[in-house]
Amino acid sequence: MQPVTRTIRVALAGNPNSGKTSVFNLLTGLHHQVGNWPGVTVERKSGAVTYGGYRFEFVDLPGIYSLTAYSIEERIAREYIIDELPDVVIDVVDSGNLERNLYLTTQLLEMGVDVIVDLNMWDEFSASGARLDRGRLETLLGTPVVTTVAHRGEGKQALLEAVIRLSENRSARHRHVPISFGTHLEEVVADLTTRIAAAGGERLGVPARYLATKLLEGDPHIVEILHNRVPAARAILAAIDDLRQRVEQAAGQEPSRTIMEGRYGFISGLLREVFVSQTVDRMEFSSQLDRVLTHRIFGLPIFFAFMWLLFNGTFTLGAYPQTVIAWLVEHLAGSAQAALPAGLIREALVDGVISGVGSVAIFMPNIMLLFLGISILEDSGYMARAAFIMDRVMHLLGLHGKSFIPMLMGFGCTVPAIMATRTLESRRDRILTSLVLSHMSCSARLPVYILFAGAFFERQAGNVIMLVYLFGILVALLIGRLFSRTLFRHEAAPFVMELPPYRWPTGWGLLFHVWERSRHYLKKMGGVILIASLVLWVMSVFPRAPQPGPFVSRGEAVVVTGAQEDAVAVQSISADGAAVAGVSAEEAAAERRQAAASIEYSIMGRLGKAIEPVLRPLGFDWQLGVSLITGFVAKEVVVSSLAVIYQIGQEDDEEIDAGLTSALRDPKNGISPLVALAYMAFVLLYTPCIVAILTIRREIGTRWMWFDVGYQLALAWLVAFAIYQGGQLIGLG
Amino acid sequence: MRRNEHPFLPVGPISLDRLLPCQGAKIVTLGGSQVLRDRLRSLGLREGAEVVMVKQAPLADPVEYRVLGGHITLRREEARAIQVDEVVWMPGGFRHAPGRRHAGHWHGRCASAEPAEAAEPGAAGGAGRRWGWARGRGWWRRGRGRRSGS
Repeated sequence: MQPVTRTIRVALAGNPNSGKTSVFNLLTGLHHQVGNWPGVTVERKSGAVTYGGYRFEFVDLPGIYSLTAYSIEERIAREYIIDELPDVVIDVVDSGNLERNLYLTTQLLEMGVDVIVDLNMWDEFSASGARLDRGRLETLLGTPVVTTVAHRGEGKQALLEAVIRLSENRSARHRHVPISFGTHLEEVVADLTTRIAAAGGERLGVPARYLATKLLEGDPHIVEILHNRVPAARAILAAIDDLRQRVEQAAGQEPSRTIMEGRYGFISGLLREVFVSQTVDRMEFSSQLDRVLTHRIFGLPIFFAFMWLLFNGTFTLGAYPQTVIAWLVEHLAGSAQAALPAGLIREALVDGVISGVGSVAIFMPNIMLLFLGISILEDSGYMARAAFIMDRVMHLLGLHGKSFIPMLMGFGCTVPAIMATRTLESRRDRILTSLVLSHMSCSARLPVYILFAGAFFERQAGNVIMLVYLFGILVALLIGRLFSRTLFRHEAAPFVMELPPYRWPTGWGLLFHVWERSRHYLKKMGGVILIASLVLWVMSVFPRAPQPGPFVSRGEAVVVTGAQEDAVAVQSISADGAAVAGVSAEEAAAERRQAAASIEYSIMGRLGKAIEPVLRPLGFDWQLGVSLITGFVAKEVVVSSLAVIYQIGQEDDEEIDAGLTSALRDPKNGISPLVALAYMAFVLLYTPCIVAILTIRREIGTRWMWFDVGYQLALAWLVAFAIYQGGQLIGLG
Repeated sequence: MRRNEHPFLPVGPISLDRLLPCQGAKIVTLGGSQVLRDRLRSLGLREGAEVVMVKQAPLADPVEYRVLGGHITLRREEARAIQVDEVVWMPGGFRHAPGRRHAGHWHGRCASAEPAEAAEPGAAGGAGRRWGWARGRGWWRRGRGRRSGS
């Protein structure tokens, strides 16, 4: 193998839907890392490859249509090029839409970077009957032109070699052609260029002409950069607005329009010389398909059918790996129970860590399948149609059509839903969507509803649960509108969006991407839930309640306290033979009493009692309070914590259900149907589980996380209060 | 604003959101914020470009347009900021405003292939008629250039 002589840093730019991701996968061969651009939650993919004696370091820039300053993606791309000065930029072009894709190319050329134009999707181009004179294109553009069919794996070698040639300056065609903006504007540009160069603008690493052009376009980002980094240029900056106004008056139109016309004029002149249009419209098939999928009448039902398919599919398919994971967790708990000596560590491990992590790990397959489903929708192009169909409704909430699918995902699990908000382009939309989607009742809350509704409303239980869900949606709508009118009045991004042609989502890259995303979730979940479960366990076990007297050996019906009900309970349990694991019935009952007493005595219990005054107006007592606290870790834990608090045997699910139901109904515990309603409303509205909260922090920021926690708690309290007190007033109490 | 003898084909600059399905027009001016204008331009919706209204979403908003070989969607309120002129019927469809029905008309869709021969509107299976400056080669035939050197 040749010794590596040089490292070449390459950035990939291009329109969304140009197949840039496929090109990146082609070049890096799936050896890449996924991270974030600093300070923002936009995905950053990077990878390295060795070829021909060189080491290539690739960075995938976000998909952009142009290099203005107005969206996060564009700013990221721009800043990367200016600050990091990559050796080569590969501009991935969708060959089927040359005119629009080349608009970005012209702007890259203006920045003075060394560009390689990669005509991707070349197979579609050739098949469409279009023709292109590549040699002439290279001459006219002044850049190398390579063709690839990335999704079929073709073109890697040609591309890498073009990069090598370009960076070694061996290519004779390496010559930048400045685009003319018309005689009048050119005078102004030339003058401004000279002045900027004199002020030292080229220190930034980009041509002075580029800076001049941007200033004439009124680009706020460039103004800021110049102001900060090139103090000598401030005089120019002060006069720039005036200059633009004069140009606008003289030309009868704003400079940015003239500049844009210059670019497009260059492109169409270019294409006239080298390009023969296709005889077949490439959107023909997609248009035909859209006649059905976005049909005036059938479009909506078809869309809902797809959504139903997506969610049902993930849960049905996910059931198989779920049973495997459940078995694994049980097995692990069992062997830990058997292998370790009785004592604190074993309890911590089994009751705390394994059961805690296990209850959340169970959801992993569903989440991975959800990610896969979403990726398929995106890559095939249907996601854009989904946004197209739902935008009207979303706009009423002050949101974007693309918000719909994350909100829908919130019904499954809040965490991937928040991660899915990355498809939204503006930060404002992402924040608002994330705040609102927490109210889409996640599937972990469902067991709580089933329990309470089943205990108190019996035959109406199904309707009550439905009502809870609808209430959540209603709250989401109202909150969405409220926030978008008050907190988020400004900076709503335009909806303008492309509907790409439908394409088959391609295999390995997709799976790899899903794996990357899920792996991140797994790591986060593993770490956080582990700690949180441990903390929860510690809080619920310490300090330990004083022990009652020792048990008599098995077979003797000794009961620690002499209540009549206990005797009956013990007898009935023995009759059913529910004693397992070598523990007799009365020992089991006594253990449960012990556990319940422990809870009351522990930090958790004391915390519950401490907040009881706050919960009293809602009709909750300290026991319900404790269960709500445990819900911070994971909503699944609420039911099991209730089971412990009310001393229900945890041998099997049916026993838990029956036991809990009767415990809840027990007037001693002071829960009435009204309280149950208030409780369910509270569970619906209050903060999501800790993994979701931390995901919000990661995706949006710490301040917003606290805001979310605060407002959701307040909202939950207010609504539960209204339900309970209001109900009492009416006399439903 | 006059109406010519062809119903539903307005004359004079109108806002983009008023185009009916299968109508094409040329963009005259872009309104709205700087952000919106830059975004529109980078997607091909620029002054001087030809745009065709394809369809509206099931809930009547947003609207899908065809421009520069791609399909773009815009909300009606964004489309209202764009002024267009020289409205023509694209071949393949003569669509009445929703709700009107006439026997014998073909309520077709926008054809994406070569425009069919002009026919009288109202003839069964007829294509839309090309009007005014759109007669002849048809401005929707883009990109027919010469190969270099020929």
